[in-house]
Amino acid sequence: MLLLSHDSKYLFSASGSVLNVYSATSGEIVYRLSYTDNSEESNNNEVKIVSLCLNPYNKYQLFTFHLNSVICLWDYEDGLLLKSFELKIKIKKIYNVKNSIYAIGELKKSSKNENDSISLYKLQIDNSIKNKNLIEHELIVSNLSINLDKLQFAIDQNEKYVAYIEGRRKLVINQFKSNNSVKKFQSKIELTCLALHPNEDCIATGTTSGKIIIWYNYINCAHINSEEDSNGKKRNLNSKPTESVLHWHSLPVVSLSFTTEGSILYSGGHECVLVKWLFKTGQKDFKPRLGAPISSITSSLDNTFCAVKHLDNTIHLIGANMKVVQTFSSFLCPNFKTTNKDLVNNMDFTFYPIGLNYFKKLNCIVTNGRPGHLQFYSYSSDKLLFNLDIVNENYISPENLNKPNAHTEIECLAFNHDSTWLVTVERRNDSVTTPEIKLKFWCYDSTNNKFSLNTLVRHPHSYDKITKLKFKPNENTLFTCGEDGCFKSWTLVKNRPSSIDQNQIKYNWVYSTCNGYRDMYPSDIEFFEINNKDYVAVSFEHIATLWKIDYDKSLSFVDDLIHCAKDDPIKYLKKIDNSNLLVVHNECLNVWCFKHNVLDENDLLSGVEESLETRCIWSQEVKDVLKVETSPSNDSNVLIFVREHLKSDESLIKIKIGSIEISNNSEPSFKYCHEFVQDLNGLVNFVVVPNDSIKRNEEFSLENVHILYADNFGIIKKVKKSSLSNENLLQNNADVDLNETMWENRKILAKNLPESNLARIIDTNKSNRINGEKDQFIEENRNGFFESNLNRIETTPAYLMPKIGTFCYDTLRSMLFKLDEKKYEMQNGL
Amino acid sequence: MGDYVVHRARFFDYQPKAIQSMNYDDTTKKLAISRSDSTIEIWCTKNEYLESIIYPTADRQVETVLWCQSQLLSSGLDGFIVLYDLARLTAKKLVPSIGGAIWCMNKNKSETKIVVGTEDGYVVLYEIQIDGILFEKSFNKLDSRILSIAWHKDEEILVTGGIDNIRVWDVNTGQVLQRLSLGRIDKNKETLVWCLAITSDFQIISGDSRGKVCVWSAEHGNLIKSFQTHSVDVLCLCLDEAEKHVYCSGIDPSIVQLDYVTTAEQENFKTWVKSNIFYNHTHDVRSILIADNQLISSGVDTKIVFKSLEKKSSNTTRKYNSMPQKSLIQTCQDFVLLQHDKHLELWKLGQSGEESSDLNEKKDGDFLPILRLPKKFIHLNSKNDLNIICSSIGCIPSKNSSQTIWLSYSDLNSIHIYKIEISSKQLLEPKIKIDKIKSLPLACGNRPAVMMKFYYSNLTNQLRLNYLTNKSTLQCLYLLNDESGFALESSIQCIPQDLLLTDNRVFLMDFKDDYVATCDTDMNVIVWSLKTQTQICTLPRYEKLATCVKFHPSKNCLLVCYTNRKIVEYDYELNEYTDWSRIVSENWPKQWLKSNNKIMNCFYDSRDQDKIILHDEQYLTVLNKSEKMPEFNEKIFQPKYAIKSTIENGHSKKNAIHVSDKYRYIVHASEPMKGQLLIVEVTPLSVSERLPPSLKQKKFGT
Repeated sequence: MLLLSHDSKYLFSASGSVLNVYSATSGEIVYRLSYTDNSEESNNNEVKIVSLCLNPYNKYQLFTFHLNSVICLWDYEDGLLLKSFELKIKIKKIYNVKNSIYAIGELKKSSKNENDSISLYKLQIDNSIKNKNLIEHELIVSNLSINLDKLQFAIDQNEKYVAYIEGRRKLVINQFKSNNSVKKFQSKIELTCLALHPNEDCIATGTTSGKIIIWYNYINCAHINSEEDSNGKKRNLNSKPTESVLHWHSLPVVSLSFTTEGSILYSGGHECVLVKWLFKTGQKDFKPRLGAPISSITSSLDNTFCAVKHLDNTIHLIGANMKVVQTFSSFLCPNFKTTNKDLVNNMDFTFYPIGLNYFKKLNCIVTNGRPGHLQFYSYSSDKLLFNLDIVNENYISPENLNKPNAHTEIECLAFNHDSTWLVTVERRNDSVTTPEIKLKFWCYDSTNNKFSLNTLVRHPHSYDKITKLKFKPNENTLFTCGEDGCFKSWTLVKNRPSSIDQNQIKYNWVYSTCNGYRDMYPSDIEFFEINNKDYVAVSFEHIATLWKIDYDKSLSFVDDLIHCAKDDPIKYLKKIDNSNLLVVHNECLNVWCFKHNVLDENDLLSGVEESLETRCIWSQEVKDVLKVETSPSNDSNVLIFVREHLKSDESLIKIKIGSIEISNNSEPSFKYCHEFVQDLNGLVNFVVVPNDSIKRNEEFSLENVHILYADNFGIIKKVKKSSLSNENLLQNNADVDLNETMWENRKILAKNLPESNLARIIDTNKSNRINGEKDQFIEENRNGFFESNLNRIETTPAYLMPKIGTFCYDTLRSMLFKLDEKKYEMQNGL
Repeated sequence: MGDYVVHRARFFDYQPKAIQSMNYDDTTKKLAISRSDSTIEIWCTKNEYLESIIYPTADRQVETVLWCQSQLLSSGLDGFIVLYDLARLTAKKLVPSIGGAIWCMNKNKSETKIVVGTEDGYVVLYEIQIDGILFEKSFNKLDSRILSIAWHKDEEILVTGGIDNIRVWDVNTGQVLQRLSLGRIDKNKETLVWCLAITSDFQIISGDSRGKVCVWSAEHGNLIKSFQTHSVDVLCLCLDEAEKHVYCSGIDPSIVQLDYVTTAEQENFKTWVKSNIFYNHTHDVRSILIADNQLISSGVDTKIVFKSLEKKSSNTTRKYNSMPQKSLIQTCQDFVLLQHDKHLELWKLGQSGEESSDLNEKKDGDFLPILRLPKKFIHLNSKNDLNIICSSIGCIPSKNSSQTIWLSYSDLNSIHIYKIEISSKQLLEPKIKIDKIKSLPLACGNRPAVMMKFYYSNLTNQLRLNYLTNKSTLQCLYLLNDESGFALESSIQCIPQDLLLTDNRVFLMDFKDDYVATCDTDMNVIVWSLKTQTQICTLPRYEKLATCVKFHPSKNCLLVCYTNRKIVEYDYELNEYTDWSRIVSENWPKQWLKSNNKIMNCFYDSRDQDKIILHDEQYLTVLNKSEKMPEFNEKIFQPKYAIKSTIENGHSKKNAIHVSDKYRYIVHASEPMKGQLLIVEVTPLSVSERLPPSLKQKKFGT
C-alpha cells in the first residue's frame, strides 16, 4: 500500500501494522507510526493496516484502516495520532473519490443482518467526525461478486458506477442508482488488475498475457441493451464494448495507474520495467532495469511523481521524465519468483541461503539481496547501505513465470576474523549445462568502504557444490568443504613482484591442502588451539574427525569421534572454550572434551610423544537445531536456536533459544532461556550482533546482544529484550521496537526531516556550541532541565503546545544561573 | 469403391494475381475486383462465387473499379474511364480524363456523378447516364497528383488527398475551402494520402504513407486525433454505414478497427479509439470495404477474405484463395490441355509400368513405378498476346499409331482452331504437325467464344465443337469428314438479346449427345435439345448459383451442384427430381454445408454409376448414392470418412460420403480414361513462393 501526500512531499507505505512516513525529498524515513505502541497483548494480525487514504477535509491528515475495523486519523507532518474510531464494517479496501470515502467490506459478525456478503459502503466522514467515536456508513451496493484474491475495484469520479473484476475474466460495471444495471463483460484473457480513467468513461485492465485492454463505451452499450429488452425488439446493434489493446509486456501486468488528468497510464509487471503510455496516442516510454519486479504503482496527485513498489520491498519515486528521483529501501526480500505456496511452506526453503552474517566494520548485516548481489543492511538505522554485485550478471525475467531462469546464486559467504576479507561462493546450475562454481576472495578497503575482487577460483571443488566456508581465527587461512568429499585449505601468499610494477606487493589466495575421510562428505569445520597446537575438527556425515595442523600447514589425522547412529548426520560443530566441542546432530547434541596428554616426557631424543584424549561428556536429545552461535562476549557460552512445531496449529512454529554453558570441569548446563511463536514460513535465519549501547559485562547475558532473525516475509525482526529477560512471557513479534517512548522516537526521527529555516538556525546554534570555542559560561552552566525544555519547544508543533503559562515558569527558572547547591544551602543557612 | 490409378499432376503453373481494388454494388449485390493484370472479376456476394471475368484489351490498365447505377466503371493509369457491358463482358464506352493517369475515382451518394483525381492534379467531374459518361467540369489544377477522393453525403463537399495535404472542395463553385497539411517523418520523404473518408458530421478520416490514420475537422481544418495504426503505409480504409467504425489496413497487413465512442456521459463527448486488430492477410492489403455487414478485404496475397461483422455468427471469416473456380484444364484421352493467361500447353500424361492385375494387391496411397513421365508437347502462344478466354481439345478415337487432335481456343476477338497430328504414339520424340484451320463457316458470325467444348458422340461417330459466343448464342460445329474444317450444325440463342441492358449470361454448360444444359446468372438451369434447338425443360429455380452441371452418362439425369454445396439430380425427361435427390436434399451433414469451398467439378464414376466423384479446392469426395447419408452433426472431414480402396473398405462403416484431403488446391479432377483419375494440384507453397516479399516485422521487442 503506497500513498503520496497532496503536495508529494511525503510518501506513506504500510507494512504490517506500521505506517512508514518517508520524506520524498530526502529519502529518509520520517515517522514509523503504529497505533498499538503500547498494546503488546493484542494480536498482531488484528491491527494490520489494510488500507490508507488521505483525509479529504484536511490535507495534512491521513486515515489508516486496520483489520480490526479501527480507523486512525493521523497528523502525518507531526506523526501524531489524532483520533481513532470504530467501524461496524470489516474493511477490505478503501477508495477515495473526491470528498467521499468508500469502503469495501462486510458487516461485522456482531451486527449480523440479512446479508453479510461483500458490499460497498460510503463512510460518513466530514468535518464533524472529531466529535464522534463511531463512523457511520451508508450502503451503496450490496452483494459484490468481486474476486477477493485480486480485489481489483474502481469507482467512477462522478460517483455513478463501480467497476471490478469478478472471477478470472469478467469485468463488471455496477451502477449506483439503479440496482439492476449490472453489466458483465467477458474478456478472452484472464484479467489481473484494473484502473479507471479519472475523467473519461474508460477502464484499463491488465491481463495475464501482458496485454492491457482498454474498455470504452461500456455504459452506452449497456443502455442499448436495456432498451432492447424493454421494447422486446431485436435490433442489430453492437452490444459489445469497444476494446482497445496496448501491448508491450510479455508477462502478466501487475499494476496499472492513471495520472490525475488521465493523459498518462503507467503499467508494470515482472519485467522490472515501468512503462509509461501516452494514453491518447498509445506511444510508450520506458524506465527499464529497475532492479526488481514491480508489485504496485501509485501516481501522485500533483503529477510530479509515480511511486513504484517492488517485490523486494524497495520503493522508487520516478519523476515525470522517467528518472528515478528517490529510492527507499530497507531490508530486501529477494523474492523474484512467483510465490509458490509449496515452496514457502517448505520448512527448509529460504530466500537467504547464506544466512544472516554480521559485518563488523560497518556494523551491519550481510545477506542475499537481489539475485547475484549481497545486501549490506544496517539494522540500527533500518537502512540498506548498499548492494554488492558479486556475480556481475544482469537479472532477466523469465519468459514464463512458472519456469524461472537459472541464475547464479551466492551460496556461501565468510568473513575473516578482522573482516578484511570476504569470501563468496556462487553457483549456477540449470541442470542442462555444466554447473559453474566460483570461489571469490574480496578485499575490503576501509578507506573507501569498497570491496575489490582479489582472487577468483573456478570450480574449487571440481564441479561439486561447496557446503561450508570457514576462516581460521586470527590467521588468513580458509577452509572449504565440498560435496566432492574433501575439504581444502587456501592461504594468502605474497606474489612475486611483477616486472612492471616492482614497488607494489600483491597478495593472492592459493590452494594449500586437500584431505578427505572414508569417501564421506564433509559438512562443517571448527578450529581449536590446544597447547599451542592448532587442531581442526571436520564433520563427515555422522562422524566428527580431528586433524592436527602441522607447521608446514599440512594436516595429519588425529582421531575420529563417533557417537551417534549412522543415520544421524552432523549439522554443526561449535567449540566451547578451547577444549570442548559441541557436535550438533540432526537429533541430538553431544559435547566432546579434549584432554592433552603428554605420554613420554622423559625421552628427549625421540621427541615429545603426545596424544589427545577425547571423551564425550554430555549428550542430549534436541531436534531441529536451526543455528548455533557463540555469544560474542564469552566463548564458553553457546546459543542454540531450535525450531519446534506447535501441535495445535500446523501453520505456526515455536522458536526456542537455549544456551549451553560450561564452567570449568563440570557438566555442561543447558537451558532454554527464551521462546516465541512464529508463522511457518520457510527457514528462519538468525544472527547475533553485539549491542554497543550497553557496556560489555563480564558476565554473559542476553541483554547485551541483539538477536535478529528473518524468515521469508522479507522483514528482519529483533527478538525483544523485554521478553528475553522474562522467560515465561511469549514474545509478541511486533515488527519494530515501539516500546521506546514517543518522545524519544520523535527526537531521533526529527533529524531526518527536510531542512526548514528554523531547523537551520537551531542547527547552526548547536554546531557552534559544539565546535566553537569553549564558552565558559555555557559550558559551566549547561543545565539538563533547560536543554530538555528547549528541545521540547523546538520539536512540539505550536498548536500542540500547552499554554505558555504552564511551562513558561519552569523554563525561565531553568534559565536562571544555577548556584551550587551546597553554596546555596550554606548561604541560606547563614 | 472402384480403385483408380491416380495421375497426381503438378505441371499446371497457375499463379493468381494480386488484387488492386474492389467495389461493391448494393442494389445488385455484386462485387467487382480488379487484379494486377487488369482483369476484372465480378463476384456475387450472396453466393460468394466468381460469376464472370472481364479480360482486358492489350492497352487497358485498371487502377480502380466503381459501380455506379449498377454499371461497372473502371479507370486506370492509361487515363481512360471505361464503362463495361456486363452481358458481353467487354468495354462499352471509353472516356479520356483530361489530366492523364487516373489514381482514384469516387461517386456521389445518389450515384449521378463520378469524380476522378489524376496524376496532373486535376479533379474532374463526370455525369453518369445509362450507357454513357458525360464530362461535366474540372476544378482548378493542383500542382501534384491526387491519390484519393471522397464525397460527402450531402454532395456539396468533396475531399481530395494528395502529397502532403488534404483539400476540401466546394463542389458547386470548385473552390478549395480548406487545405490540411500533413507532417512528414523524413524531411525528404513525401507523405502520401492513400485513402480518405468523410463522415456526415464533417470529420475527415485519412490514411497516409506514414502509417497514420488521422481524423480531421473539415469545418475548421484542424487535426482532431491521429493514430499510428500501422508501421508503414495505410493503403485503404472504409467507414461503416452508421459511421461508428473505421477499418483500415495497408502494407502492414493487419486490419485495424477504430471505434467512435462516447467517453464522458455528461458532455456527450465522443472520440475515436483504436480497438480490434484482425490478422487475415500475409501481404499488403489493397482494398477493404463493407458489404451487407461483412468486411471484405483483399490484397497482394490474392486472397479475398469475407469477415462477418455480426458478432454472434460463428463462422466469421471465410477466405477465398483465388484459385480458378472453373477448370482451365481439358483432357482428351491422355492428352491434357492447360490454359494459361496467354498461352496454351499440351501435355501427354505419364504412364506407370504396372499391369492392371497387380493393382489389386496395392494398398491405398501406394506409389506405382513410373515408366514414362508426363511430357509437354506443345506450347502455343496466343495471337497478338491477348488473353485466352476459353480453350478445348478433342479427337476422334482411332486405332492408328498416329493421332489427330483438334485444339481450339478463343481470345477477345475470335476463335482459333488447330489440327495437331502426332505421328507415332510410342516414340520418345514423336513428330508433331500443327495446322491452323483458316476459316470457320461464315454462318457462325465470327464472334469470340466465352466457353467451348469438343464433344465426341459415339452414336454418330462425330466430333463436335460446341461453343457459346459472347452474345450468348450457343453454336455447334461438326467436323467435316475429310477433316479439313468444320461446318455449322445448329445455333441456339440461349438468352434473348432483344432485351436491352440485360446482364444475364450463361456461365456453365454441359453436353450429352443432343442435349445441352446451361446455367445463367439469373440462376436458371435449362436443358436444350440441339436437334430441335428448343428448350426441353427448365429446372425449378433455386436461390443459389450452380457451380457445376453434369449429365448422367446413361440415364436422362442432370446433376447440378450449387454454391451452398447442395447437389441435386434432375430427370429432364420426367421433369422431376430423382428419388435420390429428394431423399438426400435435407440430409446433408452440417460440416458439408458449412464449408465455403465451392464444388468445382463433378462426374459419375464410369464403372459404377451410383458413385459421384466431386471435388472442391481442398477435398476430393466420393458420394455413394446407394449408401445412407451421415448424421447431421457427424464430422465428415475426419479420417473415418477417408477414401479407402475396396480391400480396406471392407470393415469400416458404409457411408455415403468419403473424402480425401491428400491434395491441396485441386484445380482439376477428371477421368480421362477408364479407371484412371487425373488430379491436377497447385500447391499453396508454389503460390505463396511467388508472391512479392511481405513486410518484415519484428514480432517481439520494441
